[in-house]
Amino acid sequence: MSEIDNYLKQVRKGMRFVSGSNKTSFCNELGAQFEHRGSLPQEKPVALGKAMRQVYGIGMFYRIILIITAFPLGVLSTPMIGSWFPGVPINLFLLLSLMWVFLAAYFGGRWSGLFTGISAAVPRVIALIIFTIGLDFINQFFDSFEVSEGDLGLVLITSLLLPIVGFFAGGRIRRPD
Amino acid sequence: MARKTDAVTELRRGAFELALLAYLNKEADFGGAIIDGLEEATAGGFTITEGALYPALGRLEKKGYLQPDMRKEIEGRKARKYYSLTTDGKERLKELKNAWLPLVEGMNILFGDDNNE
Repeated sequence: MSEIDNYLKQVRKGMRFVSGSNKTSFCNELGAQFEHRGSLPQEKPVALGKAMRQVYGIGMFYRIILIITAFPLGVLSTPMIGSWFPGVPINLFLLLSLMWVFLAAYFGGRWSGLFTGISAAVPRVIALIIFTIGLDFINQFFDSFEVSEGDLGLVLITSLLLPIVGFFAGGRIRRPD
Repeated sequence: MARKTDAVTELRRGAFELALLAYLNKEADFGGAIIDGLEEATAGGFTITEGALYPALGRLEKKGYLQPDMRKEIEGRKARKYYSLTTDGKERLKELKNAWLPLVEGMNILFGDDNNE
């Protein structure tokens, strides 16, 4: 393997999770530069790849994976789940949902953070609506089930915060150097 | 995540976008040639590396200030990605230049005779 091929292989490693087309495009650009200057870039290849990942963000496939997986995390963080299944650590799942949103915002940018936040918030909001409107109905099956207004308010606020945090964190964290 | 930087790095970083836009406003150029060309055009004032150049080019392209154009100039060699300014890029250059020139003039007055030291 030639010097430049080895360098580009390391660059690709630094650009892990970036879409294939962006990786190829950037490596071709570096290859053309090598042909022009006859020397390798001064930077460490992995560091250069990581810097470019900050510019491009992760590929669409990985963004969608983050969005989809945020949904079950949101479900498991719903306080009402904890009422039925006390063993489920809902606060831990809420924390995980938040971390997931930050992860999406960091690697995918503000829109990725927003949609991952929405995906985590949707089951919480659905649960909120069901428990607000259908409490009497639910109590036909679960005797004396109660949800305080404070609980509902807290669920609403934390649910709204997830996409908001994702959107603004994505703008801040991935702001150009 | 942003690293801690000193004032000199901050100054260079702030001026880098302007220098890059001003350079590419004169003529479209590609990565490797921009490094040499910018250094030559600024009489050694701007010595940059790939680690600074490519992320900056990528960001400016994403913001819509630069328009890339693939050109295969030499048969058997890789196509080169030439960057030129878009209309938004020219506007951005104008904006940065308007902020930069009075700043430099003011600083030169402030330094006064120290400039010759």
